Amino acid sequence: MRKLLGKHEIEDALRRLDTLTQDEARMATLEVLKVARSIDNKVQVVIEGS
Amino acid sequence: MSQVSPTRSTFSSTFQSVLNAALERYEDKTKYKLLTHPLAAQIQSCDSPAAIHGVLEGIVQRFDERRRNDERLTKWLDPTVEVLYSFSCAVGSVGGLVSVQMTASQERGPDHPSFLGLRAGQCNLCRDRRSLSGEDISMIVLIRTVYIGVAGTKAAKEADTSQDVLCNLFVRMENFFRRLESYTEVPPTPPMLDIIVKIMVEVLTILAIATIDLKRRRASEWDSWPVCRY
Repeated sequence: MRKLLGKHEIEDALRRLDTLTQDEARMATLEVLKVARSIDNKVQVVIEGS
Repeated sequence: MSQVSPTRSTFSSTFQSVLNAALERYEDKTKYKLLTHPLAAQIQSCDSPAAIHGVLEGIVQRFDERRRNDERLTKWLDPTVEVLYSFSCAVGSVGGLVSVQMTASQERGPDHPSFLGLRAGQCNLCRDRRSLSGEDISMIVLIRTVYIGVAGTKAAKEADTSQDVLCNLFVRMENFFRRLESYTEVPPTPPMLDIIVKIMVEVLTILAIATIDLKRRRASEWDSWPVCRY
């Protein structure tokens, strides 16, 4: 990478990109968990109401 | 428990301000205004991903014979064009034109976490009094990516390992663009949007850094290629 693009700047940027991508994945997992929990609660209400 | 997702129009306008901010940072770094890119008008007139691909392929083949033999670097082009095209349609059709005068800091507040690190430079684009659409910006991102791909391949002639790294870089960007497409279909929640903003800024930053370095290494023959001026 250094030979092609030079300097450490690009490497640092790629490292930050990796970190952000991991954060994005964690955030997506959290969102899915929230949605699943929400659905679960609603289903519970339906079951209890029937 | 459940969070209210932003509407598609809110998402679109937010995304445009996000992209504007990223573009400002690019200009701040490279001193080039991507909006005046000569290829921008050409690509704007394309009405399908295939048409865009045709324009870009023509440039690429004219530029570097060797590149034709390396399919790894062309493989990412098709999906990237597809994704950016659909993204630009999604954003453009809802948001319409957004004035660049409405900077990110004006719209979301200077202390919004999405824009940490973006406040150093004032918006030079504001002086242009032009409008910038999501379509413009996605095409600009595409042009930048293609430029780095072509010019980077040229620079990498001496070292195959560098070319491997370049391919790796494109794969990462392609993956991000694919996710971006999903986010246009399912509007993300605000915290998720913050992360996407930061990633978009980082992608543009990488393009900017690579552009600066490639510019330094640019051979005189590149001057004949219009994209190289940017």
